Amino acid sequence: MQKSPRLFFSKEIKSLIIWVAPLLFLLAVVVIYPLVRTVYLSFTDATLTGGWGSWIGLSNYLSLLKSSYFWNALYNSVIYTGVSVFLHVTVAMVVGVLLAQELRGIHIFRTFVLVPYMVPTVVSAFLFKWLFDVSHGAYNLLLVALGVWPDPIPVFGTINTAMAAVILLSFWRYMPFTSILVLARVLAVPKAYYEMATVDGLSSLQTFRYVTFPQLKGVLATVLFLRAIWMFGMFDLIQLTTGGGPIRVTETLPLLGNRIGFGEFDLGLGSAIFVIMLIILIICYGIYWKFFGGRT
Amino acid sequence: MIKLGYATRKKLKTISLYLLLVGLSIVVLLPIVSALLTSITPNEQLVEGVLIPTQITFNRFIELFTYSHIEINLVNSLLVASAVSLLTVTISSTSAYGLSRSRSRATTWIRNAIFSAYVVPRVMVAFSLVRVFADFHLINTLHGVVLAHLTTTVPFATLILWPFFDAIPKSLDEAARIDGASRIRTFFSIIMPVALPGVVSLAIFAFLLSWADWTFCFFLLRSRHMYTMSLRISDFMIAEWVSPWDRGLPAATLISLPLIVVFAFLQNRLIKGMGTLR
Repeated sequence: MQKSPRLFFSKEIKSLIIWVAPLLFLLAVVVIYPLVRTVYLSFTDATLTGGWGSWIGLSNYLSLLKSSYFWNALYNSVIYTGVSVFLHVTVAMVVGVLLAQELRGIHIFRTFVLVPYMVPTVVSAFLFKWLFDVSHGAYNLLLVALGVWPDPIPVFGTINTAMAAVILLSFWRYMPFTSILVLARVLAVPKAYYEMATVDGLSSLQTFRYVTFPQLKGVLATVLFLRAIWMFGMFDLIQLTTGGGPIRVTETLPLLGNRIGFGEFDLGLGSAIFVIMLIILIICYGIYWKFFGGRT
Repeated sequence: MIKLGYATRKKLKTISLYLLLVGLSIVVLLPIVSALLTSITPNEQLVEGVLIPTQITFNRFIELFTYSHIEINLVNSLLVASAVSLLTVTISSTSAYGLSRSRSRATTWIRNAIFSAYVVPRVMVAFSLVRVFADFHLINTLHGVVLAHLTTTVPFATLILWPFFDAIPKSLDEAARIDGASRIRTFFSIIMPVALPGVVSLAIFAFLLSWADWTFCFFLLRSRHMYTMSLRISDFMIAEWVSPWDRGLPAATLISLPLIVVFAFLQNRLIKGMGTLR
């Protein structure tokens, strides 16, 4: 079969286009067009009720750079993403290896661990609000009984604890899923490697360091990257538990974008926030691509 | 120091591993189990503060239907998730097949486009969709939500199905073509039956993704009778004149159960599938 690198509408590509037409249509109309429109809106003074608004150049971006709300949200996003990703990827690595042990009944534990990821986000947010409820939240009462704090605290409504509580919730929800990804990779490591480690007399820790961990690097890089992107764009868990409060200590960029775009009807400014998020994500994507490109 | 025999050490190791696993399970399961138990404990016993109820009641579930008319939201969720599941499988299996059988260089570009669409955070797409959907009168409609959910399920399903179709030998296509079957015919009567197990689990997965989504519904739905289950639960938390726990806990149980049951059955296949994801 001849290869036709220059001829765009070769027979090959025509038949491909027919097969992928619905997919391309979907991507173009429901993903790319809306995103491009958001980019356009970020250069206008459009409001939620008005049409396309009028072109005001970079003023939305300039006013964002001058706004303390924006820097606060960016800071919160970085803290939230950094801490929760670091926490849960390190723990997930240990849990994944633990779940890979050949023990009787291990399948049951694997299923158990997936449960937090199975329940919808709205349920996990709801559960944590309920468990930390001031008057009859079980966890709150437990922490009081253990002497961690003297009286029940509304953790999602207290300045000092809100961010930690949101991070804890994200950890509870996403760590198990990551650990299952690690588990899948560990199970794919050839058994002969471990036999050799036993023959060489490596301890469990050494086996992990020299046999398991090198095999995990690839999956960890992908998981770290995807998790970081999704945590950076996390909306539902935070919106549902704190709504960005109290006094904006948990307001990350998506929440700020939503508050300004739909809460204060300033669609242009709200769009600018999402465009900045998009730019940050594209930079991260570029870095990831440079180091691990094409292995997805 | 006491030197332990090999057998004793091994036993100790096993015991400590089990202890770790049990501890892990408790941390992971406790919130859900306690919610489930509380939702069937009568109020009198809750006030007493019992941990494990001696009596059970389904009153809260009944009230969920008689007073809060959750069946409207349940039907909405079912309709949306079924449509999403069906459309996802149709669109992604045809495109994954086309992509796996094509030798064109455009496939690399399409792969990157799909991957990018898969990676973009939903909140960004949801935010951008609001104005676009307003133009097409899709705000506060169920088919609008279906369309929005497809933006996450279709890229994911296509990325998973692509290698799946790659694994089906091309000689199968060629044999069918020699027998005079068209490509469409080949796809439906030769390839699809072979790919069915993978396609079915993806259909279930797409259903669950749509069933569990909250973000898109939050941005796109406006009135309570159009809400899906997940949005109604958040409504119980903030907006409705009820004790959030009285309605929310049974509703949360109701929405979680199908997911847990299905995942428990698909667990092994899922773990293997994720392994190929790398």
